[in-house]
Amino acid sequence: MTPTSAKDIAKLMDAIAELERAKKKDYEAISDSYLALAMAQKDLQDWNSSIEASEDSIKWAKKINDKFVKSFKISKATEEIGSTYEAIEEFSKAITYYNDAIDTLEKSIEGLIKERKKISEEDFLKYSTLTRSLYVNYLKRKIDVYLKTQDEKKAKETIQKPWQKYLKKKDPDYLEILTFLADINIHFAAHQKVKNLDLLIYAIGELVILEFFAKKYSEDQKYWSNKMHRDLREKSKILVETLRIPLDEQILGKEMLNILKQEQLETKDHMYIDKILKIRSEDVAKKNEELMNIIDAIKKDEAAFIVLSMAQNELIMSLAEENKYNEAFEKAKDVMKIIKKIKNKLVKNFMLGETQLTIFRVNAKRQDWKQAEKEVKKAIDYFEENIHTMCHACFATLELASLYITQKNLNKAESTLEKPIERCAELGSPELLARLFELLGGIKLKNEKIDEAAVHFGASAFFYLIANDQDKYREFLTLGIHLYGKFLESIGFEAVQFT
Amino acid sequence: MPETFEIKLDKKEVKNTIEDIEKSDYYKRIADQVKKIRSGETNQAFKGNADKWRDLFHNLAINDHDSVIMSIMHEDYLGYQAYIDPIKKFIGFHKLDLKKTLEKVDINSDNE
Repeated sequence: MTPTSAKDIAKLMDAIAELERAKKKDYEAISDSYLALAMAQKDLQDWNSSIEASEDSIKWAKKINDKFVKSFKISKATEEIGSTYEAIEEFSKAITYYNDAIDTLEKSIEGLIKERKKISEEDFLKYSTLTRSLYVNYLKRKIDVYLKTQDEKKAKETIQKPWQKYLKKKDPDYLEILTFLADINIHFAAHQKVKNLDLLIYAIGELVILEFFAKKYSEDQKYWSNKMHRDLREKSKILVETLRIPLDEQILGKEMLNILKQEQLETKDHMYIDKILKIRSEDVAKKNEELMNIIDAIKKDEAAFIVLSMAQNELIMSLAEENKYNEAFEKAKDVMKIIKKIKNKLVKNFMLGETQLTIFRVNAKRQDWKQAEKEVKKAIDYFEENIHTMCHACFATLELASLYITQKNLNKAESTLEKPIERCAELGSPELLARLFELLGGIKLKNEKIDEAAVHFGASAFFYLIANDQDKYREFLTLGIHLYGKFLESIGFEAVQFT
Repeated sequence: MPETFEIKLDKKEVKNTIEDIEKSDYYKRIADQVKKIRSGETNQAFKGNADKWRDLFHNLAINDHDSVIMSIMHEDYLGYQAYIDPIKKFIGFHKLDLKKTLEKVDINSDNE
């Protein structure tokens, strides 16, 4: 864009003079021209002239017959005055004008919805699209001023007040506006001095759910389909950037390789690891028998203790699957003895953690919750000994939390999740984040906070999508949408039918 | 020579210089080489099986974890299954491949 010059100003003034001289005056054109003049003068830093031109724009806009056109012309010129004051850092004046512009648009939005049936579908779409886009834009401007002046409380209120107001309407026609407000919440969370991660994730989860309702009730379903697809990409990108999520990291596998690297493994060890992995990933009919054969061979070949303990762990779980619990616990005693022979402390702790986790799972399977709790806590302690197995510790912690959820000990479940919440930002594992928010959603659901449960499931769906787990993404998004529908119904909205 | 001397550093200039270096082709070439050597070492340590094993260990651990969570939470989710199908139909899901979009994000994933 070329910079504005005095010549441009003169040209604009000539054009305005000509429009004003005309017998049949085009008020829209005159108002628009004064607004263009105000912008040009602001470019030249002629602040007073810019404000005067905006005031002239408002004066002419007031003569426009169409009330919806009139109100967005008035609000545009009012916002221009606000932005001039923002440019010269007179922030309180800027806020006053932004508020006026926003109030005008809010009245217009309410008027449009009230008179929806009297207006042609085409006009409704045209006016509401323009009014809403200006409304969203001005709210963002207002929030940015509050953030500049470090008044985060007021910035938050800028979203919360209209949110409460429109939610109380219990009218599906306001769902589109509520969706835009969820989008602005993301803008707010991302632009705070210290990025508000909780709010960011929550707002993204809420947005994706609300977009489905907006689509359901909108006259413009195509717009919402496109926005939804664009947002799935854009908001995933925001999460990946903010949480520094490395893609294709396979963090649990990486941690395991780092442990194996500590040992001087020989070719025979490699061969046995390959065999163990093969048995695990395939549905082998005679699993126990095969594992016992491998264990014998490992012992005979004097392969590494870590490999032997890996095979033993597999056997424990496999025996438990056949409900042979006593045999499983006997094997667990054997494997503990083998692990104690491992010299490297990091490897030893890791395998102790793995084995405790296996014993926990056996106890959970036979519903001995008390014993299971003890075992998984030990597993977490062992994994936490080494900074490089922290993701294993977090996953084990999620299993402990799910155990508490089963026992309806929700407070304990919630406090157990605090550690993984703290660590998720540094670990950046989308699989961990997905399951973390899934459990948080589960807790909210049991606490009958269905709106929060829905939003947590929505956030979980986002992380499943980033981890490329399409099935779970769909499962949790639909679960979130269903629950949010129930929430809307519970506060007085009509029941949402998806059929 | 004076007994004391002072080095004045313009913090902004230092920051800009570091950023310039990081953005330079030379730096990127070196970083790529280091990454190759590191992953080469890992691959060598696991006789070419590193990627395969990493993926298998990861996926199997996730499956084990999910089997516990799912069995514990199963009852809660079960009640909602009936409502989920109509929503899925309304949404009309199709496979969303985010890989290209997300790969553009510059993340330093080399934490090994």
